[in-house]
Amino acid sequence: MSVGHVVLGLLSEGPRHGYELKREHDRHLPGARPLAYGQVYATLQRLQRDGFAEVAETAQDGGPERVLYAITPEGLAELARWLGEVEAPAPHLSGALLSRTVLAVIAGEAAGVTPGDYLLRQRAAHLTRMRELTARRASGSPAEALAADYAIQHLDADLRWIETAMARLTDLKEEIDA
Amino acid sequence: MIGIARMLERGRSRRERVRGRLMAAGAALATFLLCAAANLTAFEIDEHHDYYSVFTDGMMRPGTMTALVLLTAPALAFVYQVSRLAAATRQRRLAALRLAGATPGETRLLGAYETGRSALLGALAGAAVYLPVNLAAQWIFNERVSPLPVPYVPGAGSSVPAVPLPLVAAAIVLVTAGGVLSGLAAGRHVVASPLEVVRRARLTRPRALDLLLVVAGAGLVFAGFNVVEMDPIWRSGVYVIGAGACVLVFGLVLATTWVIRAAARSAGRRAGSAETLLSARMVEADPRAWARALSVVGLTVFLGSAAGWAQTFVLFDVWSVSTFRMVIYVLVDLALLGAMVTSAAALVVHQAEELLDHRRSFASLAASGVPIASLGRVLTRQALIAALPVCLVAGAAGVAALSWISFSATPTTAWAYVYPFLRAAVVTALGVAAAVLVSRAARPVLRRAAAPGELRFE
Amino acid sequence: MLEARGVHKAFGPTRALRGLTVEIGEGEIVAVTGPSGSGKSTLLHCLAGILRPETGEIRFDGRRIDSLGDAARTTVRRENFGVVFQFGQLVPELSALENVALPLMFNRHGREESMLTARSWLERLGVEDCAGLRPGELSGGQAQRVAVARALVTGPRVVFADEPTGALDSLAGERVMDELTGTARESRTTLVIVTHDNRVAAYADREIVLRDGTVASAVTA
Ligand SMILES: Nc1ncnc2c1ncn2[C@@H]1O[C@H](COP(=O)(O)OP(=O)(O)OP(=O)(O)O)[C@@H](O)[C@H]1O
Ligand SMILES: [Mg+2]
Repeated sequence: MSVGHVVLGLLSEGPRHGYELKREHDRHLPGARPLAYGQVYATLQRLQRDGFAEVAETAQDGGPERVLYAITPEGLAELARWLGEVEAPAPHLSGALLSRTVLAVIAGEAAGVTPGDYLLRQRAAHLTRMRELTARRASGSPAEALAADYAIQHLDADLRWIETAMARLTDLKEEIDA
Repeated sequence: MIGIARMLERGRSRRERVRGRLMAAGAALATFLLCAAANLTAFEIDEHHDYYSVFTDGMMRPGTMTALVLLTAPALAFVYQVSRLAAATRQRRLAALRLAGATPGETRLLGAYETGRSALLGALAGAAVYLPVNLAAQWIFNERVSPLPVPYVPGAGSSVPAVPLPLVAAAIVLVTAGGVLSGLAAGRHVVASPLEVVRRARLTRPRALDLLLVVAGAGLVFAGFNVVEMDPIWRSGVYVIGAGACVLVFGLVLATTWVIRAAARSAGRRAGSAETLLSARMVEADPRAWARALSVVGLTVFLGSAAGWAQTFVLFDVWSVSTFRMVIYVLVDLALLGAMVTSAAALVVHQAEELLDHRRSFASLAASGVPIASLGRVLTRQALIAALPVCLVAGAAGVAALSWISFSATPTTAWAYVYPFLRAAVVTALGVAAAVLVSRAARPVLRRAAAPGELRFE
Repeated sequence: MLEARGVHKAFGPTRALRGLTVEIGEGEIVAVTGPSGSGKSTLLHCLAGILRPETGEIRFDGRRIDSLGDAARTTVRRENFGVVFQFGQLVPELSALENVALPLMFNRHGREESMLTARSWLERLGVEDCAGLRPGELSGGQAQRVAVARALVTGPRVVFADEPTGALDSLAGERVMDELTGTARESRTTLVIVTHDNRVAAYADREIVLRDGTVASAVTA
């Protein structure tokens, strides 16, 4: 997924200023990393270059120049194409949890760390985060609830993995020691 | 199939074994009674005797035989109730069988096999008990070794003949077939799918068939009276009337389904306590099962209160009092009492079945602090709510049915008219009391149903 | 407020609890988690005075309840505890409203009063539309919310819940957990939830992890 497609999607609702795009991005995707202004403008420039967006209007009433951006028919077509695709499942695991666990088994003795303890601490940390998200979900807007759900389900997947990892630690240790 | 049934049998739990034994006991009782009736067919003497006329008087014997055959009804009803309970608890084994590829019909056959086997064992036991009793009676009465007042039978070789063995065999076959049929019938109420066993939605409303039974019964009684006139020697009309009366009363009692439901509904509306509310709603949800379970109790109450008319004219001196009549009345009342006890036992089984359906909800009520005693009161009140209308209807019908006798006699005292009603009231109260008392017998089952173990999901 | 000390409980050869010690404070929401068969349900039943441990003590408000007789423990449960189970706890013949009113009526409250209170609880849990329906006509989520109402209607000081969302999908489960924990916090009711679902455990202030009948770790927020 690219920021460009997200910006195109927001523009499809109607022409927007750059700062409006940032605000809406942060409102609709409350769990995601907030967009920086610089990133917004860089993205808009790239979209203009590719012919997906255009400047609808430029106003300058005393303050800085305020540019209103709009989506082009090509941009709409590109958006439709992107929404029609599916997100490819990641081909390689890039789990920090996995690396830490395996290394805790390999190097735990030398470093004075037991892998079981590590997993328990990791579990506590995950659960604490899950608790925060659960509380936020109950009090937040639908968009925040959706984002919290997304994060909670992913944490839950990690937590379930941690539980099976605990059960597999002995086997793993035997394999590594062998 | 039989092989599988045998295999499953070895894995039966203690409770299932107990149920098998209960079924066998009911079948044994029924067979014993049938054997006694069969024995009477071999009697040849025709003599009046103050104490033994029911056996020695050729006119009385058909009545005695009918009574004995009728007494098998509560015993067989008991077998049927137990096999229903067994069908409900065979669940898990049956589900496993379905998963292994058995058809629904085959799982029902399995139920029929299990019930039939218990019934056969029971029937054999019943016959095995009757034969020595018969031999002992022959020895005591025919050899005159006993100081008992023995009927004097001039000219006859023996006063107590041997029971005809072909008829004993027939009784065994009959009772076993009854067991198989009740196993098949009980299986109808449970649908075993591979994943689980669900109780089939049960018919709870009065059916047209009940009314048909009423009409058919009345027709039989009517026809019977005509046959009596035509056939004075064999008195076959008596049997027809007896059978007709049974069908009639059975239909009436089943038709009380709606009376039970109305009573439960009104009790539920007015209930002030949790116990009454719960019991009224439970009866209201399944009045038909209660009507069925109470049908034999109702029959007994009917006969018991009908007998009041015959007694009143003896007691109040219209007809002559004789030892002979008194003996008959005492015997009739004893038989009715026995029937009531047996049929009340079927009620316990019905409540056990109901508890089985409710074990999760009852266990969770108990867990949240509802005392077992309160849940026990729920059982008692259910019995009360259901038995009261049935017994009232049966008692009233009994008094009404034989009231024509009062037109044929002119008693000397008004008490003669009061007595049948008093007796009907007492018999009705006895019926209700029996139902309520036996509901206490279901308490051990309740204790188990409400145990925390029932909260575990399987 | 509620504590188990050195509790052992066995079912025949199965040692379900092996010298377990936990302590739960007033108004706390605690999740009990752990693998299947680790003794979670058994612990819950012991804490709730439904089962008696062989050794060790269970105290409620400083008073030992494991040594009490059956009748006395029943009274303690009726006056102080409410329970929610996975499914099947509602009486099938009673309407949702009557099911909720039942505990009050068992406590000898009048019928009218009980029904009124029950209705207000159904409203509080957002299932007032189901008041007249039988449990068989409710969805799993509605039935569980009715069960929660029934557990809370007597104003218990502790509510015990065993897999309260075990038979529900995640959205229905979330609804039930929101209501259960929300009302518990409002009324400062202590809540003990047995679950193997981390998302349910995340509603709690604290987690007690069981393994082979003992506490593996206690994780606090
Ligand atoms: N009534 C009982 N009879 C026999 N064994 C029992 C009984 N109750 C529990 N057990 C055994 O005690 C152990 C712990 O059971 P418990 O139900 O407490 O586990 P649990 O942690 O709740 O598991 P689950 O997550 O599967 O519900 C298990 O091995 C179980 O088989
Ligand atoms: Mg459990």
